[in-house]
Amino acid sequence: MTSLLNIANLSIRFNPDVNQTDAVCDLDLTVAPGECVALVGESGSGKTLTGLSIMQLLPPGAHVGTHSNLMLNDIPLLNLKQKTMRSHLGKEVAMIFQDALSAFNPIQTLKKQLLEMRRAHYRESKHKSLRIIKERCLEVGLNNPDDILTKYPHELSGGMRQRAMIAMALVNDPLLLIADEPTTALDTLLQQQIIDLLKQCQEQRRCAILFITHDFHVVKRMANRVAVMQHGKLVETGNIPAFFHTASHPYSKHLLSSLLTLSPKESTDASDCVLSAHQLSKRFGNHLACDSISFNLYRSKTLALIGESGSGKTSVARMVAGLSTIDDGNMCWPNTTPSIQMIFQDPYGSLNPRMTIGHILAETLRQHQDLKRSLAFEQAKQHLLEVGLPSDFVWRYPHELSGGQRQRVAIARALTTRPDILILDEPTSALDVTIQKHLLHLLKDLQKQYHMAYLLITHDMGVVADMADDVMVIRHGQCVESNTAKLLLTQPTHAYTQSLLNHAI
Amino acid sequence: MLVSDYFIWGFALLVAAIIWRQTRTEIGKNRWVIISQKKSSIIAMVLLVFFMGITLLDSIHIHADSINQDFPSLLDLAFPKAAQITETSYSAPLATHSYQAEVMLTKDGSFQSSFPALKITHTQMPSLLILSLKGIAWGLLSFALLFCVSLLSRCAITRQWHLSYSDAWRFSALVTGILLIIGAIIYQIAKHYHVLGTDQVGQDILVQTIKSIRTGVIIGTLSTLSMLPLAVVFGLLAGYCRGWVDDVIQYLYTTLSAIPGVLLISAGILVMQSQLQHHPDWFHTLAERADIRLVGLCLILGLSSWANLCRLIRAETLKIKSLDYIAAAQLLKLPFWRILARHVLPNCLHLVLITIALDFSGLVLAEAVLSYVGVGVDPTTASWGNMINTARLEMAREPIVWWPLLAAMIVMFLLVLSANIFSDALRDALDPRMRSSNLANKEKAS
Repeated sequence: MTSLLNIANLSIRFNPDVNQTDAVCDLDLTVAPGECVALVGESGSGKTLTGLSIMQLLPPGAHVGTHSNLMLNDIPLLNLKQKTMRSHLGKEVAMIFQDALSAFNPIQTLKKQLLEMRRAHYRESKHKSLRIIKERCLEVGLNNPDDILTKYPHELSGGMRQRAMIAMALVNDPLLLIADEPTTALDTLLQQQIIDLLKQCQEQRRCAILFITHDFHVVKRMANRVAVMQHGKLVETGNIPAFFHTASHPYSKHLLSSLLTLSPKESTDASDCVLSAHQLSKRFGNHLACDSISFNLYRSKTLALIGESGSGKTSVARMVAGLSTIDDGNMCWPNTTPSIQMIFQDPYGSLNPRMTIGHILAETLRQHQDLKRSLAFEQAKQHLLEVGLPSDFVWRYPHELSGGQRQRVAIARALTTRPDILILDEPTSALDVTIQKHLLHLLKDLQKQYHMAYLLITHDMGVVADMADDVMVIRHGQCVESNTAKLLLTQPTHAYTQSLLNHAI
Repeated sequence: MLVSDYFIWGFALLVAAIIWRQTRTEIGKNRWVIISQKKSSIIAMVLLVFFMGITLLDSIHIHADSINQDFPSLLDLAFPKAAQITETSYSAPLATHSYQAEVMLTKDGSFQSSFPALKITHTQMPSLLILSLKGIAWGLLSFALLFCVSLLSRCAITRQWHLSYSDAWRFSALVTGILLIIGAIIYQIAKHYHVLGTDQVGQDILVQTIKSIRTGVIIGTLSTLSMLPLAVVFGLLAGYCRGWVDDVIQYLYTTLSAIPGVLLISAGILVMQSQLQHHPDWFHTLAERADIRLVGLCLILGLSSWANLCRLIRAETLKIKSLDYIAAAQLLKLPFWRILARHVLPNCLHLVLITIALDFSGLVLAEAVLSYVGVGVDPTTASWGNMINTARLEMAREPIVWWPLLAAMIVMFLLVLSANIFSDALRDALDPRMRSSNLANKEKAS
């Protein structure tokens, strides 16, 4: 079989005058017509740059090496003139981005944007273009194209927007789709739908897909072949599903071993209750974000709240933390008032960018323990060691740290007050799989050591299975089902829980 | 010493203390590295130091002669004698004869229109070339002296006796040298000529322009400093507390910005003027009175212009308040003022710096407008506003008198531009996100 896309010796580096390692180094990859190749790697491995280099969308400062070669149907893409290049890109190759909201122009209707895509490549009557656009909309499951095309991007839901972007990519019948983490920002159920849709495109149109992702669950469902990248180098390629058993490179094995399974953790014994919430409710205007949720938190145990985005689980967390008022219901604690801390989802927003790590930790230490400045810094170093970070990080600023490291700093900061309850609001959803596994491990260790109660908010069933003792499923602000993790994961009673579990595997 | 003298010296000492503190820590030193990376910001910094030096010299007043109402500063004493000669009227830059023709009685008894020689003119006028060469020599000499002194003092402080200096140090020395040479040339020429000509009453424009620097710097700094606390405190409170606090503060600044600025300021100044007129016994000299008027003007300018910055800070605070690190700080039970001071304010700092830089120039210009309306600084105080105000008649006259306006414009331009460039560099230096790239580049280079 001849290859559709042939990448040979692709090297990408930033600022060539400075002696720096390549962001992508001598990458060879082929994609056959109608094939789905998954490009897998952690953030910073160069997988997105590879995708962007095909579309010639590299960020300023990034340069493709002179010996690199990119062939699409035997046309060398890198040596083409601007004008001829543009006639290929967007027509034969199209791209699907991770964040559909920022990929669309917010002040133009979808119709205008889709028409532009079509008419940039075809000279035809507007009537015909419009007909083709509507066909594509129907194809991706936007069932009322006349209505949807008149809307602006922000008027659609996340899943619809993603579908609209796929429709836009399909407008010119591309031979190759480059999908850059198209499902990462979506919920489990939506994720499944988008994957099914892409799969259907691949099968019906014989359209090849280069699927860039870090999620092996998606790879398993979607891809024919997988290519693993590490530090800009291609370390291994293999066919699916054989790859999951025959992977030989240590890094591939490492990635695979980081995957969380759905086997529930052994439940720990009963312990004393630190907080019980009764009938918590939260209203935003007329919208009932959270309706009569009741639960107990036990020392050394983890309660997981699961549900899709907008189900009200974060509202519950903020009420328990005291960050928002409780409209109805109450919370009581059998013994002393528990101290509550929270770990936030976005590691980039939870640390003050203008303070060094040392100052961030020392500030709370001095607030709670009346320490001298130098002593507080010494203690801050101890806290950093405790969460697995080197102590000289006290002099660093948050932006100099990776996402996983920042999340560790956030945990260290929460631990300075020795909390009884730690609320984990999607603590790992912004992190790579290998880092996720380490972080969850750290959290479990700390729980054992300090006997904290965890309230875990997540939509990832793997995390639930790994961490939770008890689980509560929330939908539209109401409790759907609540049970121990073991029972709920193995014998779900409610249909919604069953569908969540089915899509997670 | 005058009231504004104390202010200027206090301000300079404060700035010096902050700089000294910055050089004590690693982070602070790195900020200097970032500032000194751009040549433009080094030039701006050297210029600002020159302006500040002139202002400081001009702010030491010696109580010499209270009967003559003479109240000279150190700077006045440094001017060459010739620059203080007052001519009868206009004369062009470097002229030897008056700009206006006068009808004079000639020896043979007939009347004749001619240009009279200036008082400064002698029979033996040294040529400009010789004076320039003399100036260059003096400039080089004083530069060499300054260079040695600063190098020795640096060695004495760091106790490292080998000579090593960075690129930034070398470049700032170069700029300082060029400025010193230019200054020395002007000084040498000013001994025999009116370098920038004279104005309507025959006073030297160069002297006026230099004396105006102090007025400009005081207006720029004192007004900004009196506006800052109001804008920052109100802005942070309004954005962070919301509720009735926000309502009250918003109501305040909306009302304030609904009144035309010039009207509000002139009303305030008129009240102050009438107060000063009713209490002549408050002051011993005219200079003291003019000085109080200047300080009053600054305060009024500051108090009436905080609304804009307040609005910006409020909006930024609203944005920052929704971020996770503020929620984390609340959960950690940090005190209210600490969250504002350590977590919100530093993240609004870029707005404060940009507004200060823009307002600094705006306020210097506002002074010109107010002088135009007639409520600016005291007419006896040398200021760019007064110079520009008189220039409007001079521009309309035939032949045109262009030098007072040009002189004021050039020096004002230099001050405002260097303040802007420097605040830009300062903003970059205070942003830790700029640090990593710079450090990385440095590590790579070494």
